[in-house]
Amino acid sequence: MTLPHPEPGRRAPRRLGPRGLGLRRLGPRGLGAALAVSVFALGACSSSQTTTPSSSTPGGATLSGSSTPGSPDASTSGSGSSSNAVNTVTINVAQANDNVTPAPSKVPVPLGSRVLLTVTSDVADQIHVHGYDIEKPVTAGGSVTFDFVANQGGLFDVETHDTEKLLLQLQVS
Amino acid sequence: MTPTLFAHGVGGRSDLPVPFTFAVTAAALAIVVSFVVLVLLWREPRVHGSQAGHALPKWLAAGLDSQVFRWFLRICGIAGTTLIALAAWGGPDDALNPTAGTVYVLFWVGLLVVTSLIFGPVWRHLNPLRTLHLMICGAVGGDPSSSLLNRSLRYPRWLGYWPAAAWLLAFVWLELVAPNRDTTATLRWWFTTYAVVTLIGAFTCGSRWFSRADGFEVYSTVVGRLSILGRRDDGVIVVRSPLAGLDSFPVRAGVAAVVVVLIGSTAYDGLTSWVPFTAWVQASNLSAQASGTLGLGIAVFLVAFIYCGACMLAGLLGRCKEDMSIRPIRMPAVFAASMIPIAAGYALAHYYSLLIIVGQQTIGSLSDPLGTGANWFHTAEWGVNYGPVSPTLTASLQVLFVVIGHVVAVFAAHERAVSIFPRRTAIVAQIPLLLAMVGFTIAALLLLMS
Repeated sequence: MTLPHPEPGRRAPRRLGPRGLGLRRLGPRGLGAALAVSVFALGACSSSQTTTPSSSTPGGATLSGSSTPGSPDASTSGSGSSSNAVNTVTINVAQANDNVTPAPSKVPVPLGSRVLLTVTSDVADQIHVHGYDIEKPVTAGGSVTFDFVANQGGLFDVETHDTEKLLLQLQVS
Repeated sequence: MTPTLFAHGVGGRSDLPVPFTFAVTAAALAIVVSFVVLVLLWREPRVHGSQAGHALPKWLAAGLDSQVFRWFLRICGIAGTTLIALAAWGGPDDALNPTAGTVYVLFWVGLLVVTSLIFGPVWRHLNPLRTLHLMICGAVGGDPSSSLLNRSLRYPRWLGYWPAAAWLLAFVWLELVAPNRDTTATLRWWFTTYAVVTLIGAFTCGSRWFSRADGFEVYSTVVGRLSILGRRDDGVIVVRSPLAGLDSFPVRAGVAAVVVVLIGSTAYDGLTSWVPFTAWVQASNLSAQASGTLGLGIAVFLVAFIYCGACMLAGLLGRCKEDMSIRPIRMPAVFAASMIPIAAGYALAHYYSLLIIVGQQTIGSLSDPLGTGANWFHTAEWGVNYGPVSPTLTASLQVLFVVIGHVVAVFAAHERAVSIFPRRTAIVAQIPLLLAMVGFTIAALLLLMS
């Protein structure tokens, strides 16, 4: 069923509306105006965002020395020996008895940092870091360490394959 | 030892949270625009979608409608499908196999959403099954638009888009929940079933099966309503506003189910990348499939409940004009077209970075569908340009897609309300749906922020 429209020749009579109060009604053309306003507003918002100084700390500073309860045991340290100083983010996580400890959460990783991720498991499994697409096996009762540079921004899942658990998310920014 | 299947080209990376200021600005904008529309806009229908638009130049319209161009598109569709079938059946099932990336990203997002958004319902012209059906009908001397088995069989009117909605739900389940969804074996099995069912439907009911019951064609048609290209009631190809396209979208049974499935599934996919939710799910003792099925079902049901509730309330509050009495139960279908921009905005915001990153990876691996190290189209060395997915650009675009979708939706719903409700009640009747739309948009922004 299509909705019946008034025939073009038979327009409904115009009435005095808010126009009398000084308000003008927007036509469908107002859509363009409204979109333009929203694009402008968001554009302004985004440009103000880009001018804020980057929050990445220079090498040598410890970002989160003590791990907060509930987040994976992660610590960030700087190796500031070279001129392009590289942070190292160390993360430890374990799966045992079908549980992930510490519980999955987002781990902030400054873009360009070295990530040292150690996964301990009570069952044999495949551990996969998405996005970077690194996959390594872990033996039952053993552990496996990933060592890579987080050079791509985004949120990346770290998952186990056989038990299908999310271990943590790397928030690289 | 069985080979480890990791076709992890799809998913796994998600976007950084949208900054708080972006989301708040967008939400405020959405709310303000909504109420400005309600109070200040036109009070009599004025879009007249089925007659609106400026005709394209004659030579261009003739070219687009020519048999040569039609067959060019059909051959493109068949060639593309053949390439993917080659990869799916002949290629090794590894991360470099382009099948999953093509299906879930290039096809599902790039073609059905982005290309349809720009050019209109393109998939009906590319659909290889439609072409196959047409050729078989031609070979046996049958009329493609009617049943090949029994001339009295027709596609039932009451069925409308329901089969398409069901198929779309099945496909998003495959995309988001199914085990081994990125392996070629699963996709082969899935698409073979789809092709067989679709062809049986088309031979039984005629080619209308494609335009009503094929979820992919319906998705492309639905999103194509937002294109500035369209066909007027008199058959002329015109350039028109998306509002005219939405306004002239026929109200058919099941159309609301299609948009609800699209919105609900995208919302569910957004929810799964929210860590506390995933942590909570895996702390429960449900299997990944059980919790996924449950989660997807709940998301779709919630969207359906809120949307249908708001529409029926609008029907009760609005009391249709005398010349078109529409029962409240029909209101979700009547307003469904106005939800299309929200569905498209959600999908674009959600899949943007996936389309850019995995899309480029897949285009690269398409040059080597058989995994022999070939480089047929010289796309292998293109690599991936991460420039378009820088955090600020991605966040701005995501918020922009959601807000533009919301604004267009509000305008379309307003036009529909003033067309069917008398002046007196048209404003108050819009409030429930407007609140539902604001709710969907804020939920989308919250998901982008998490």
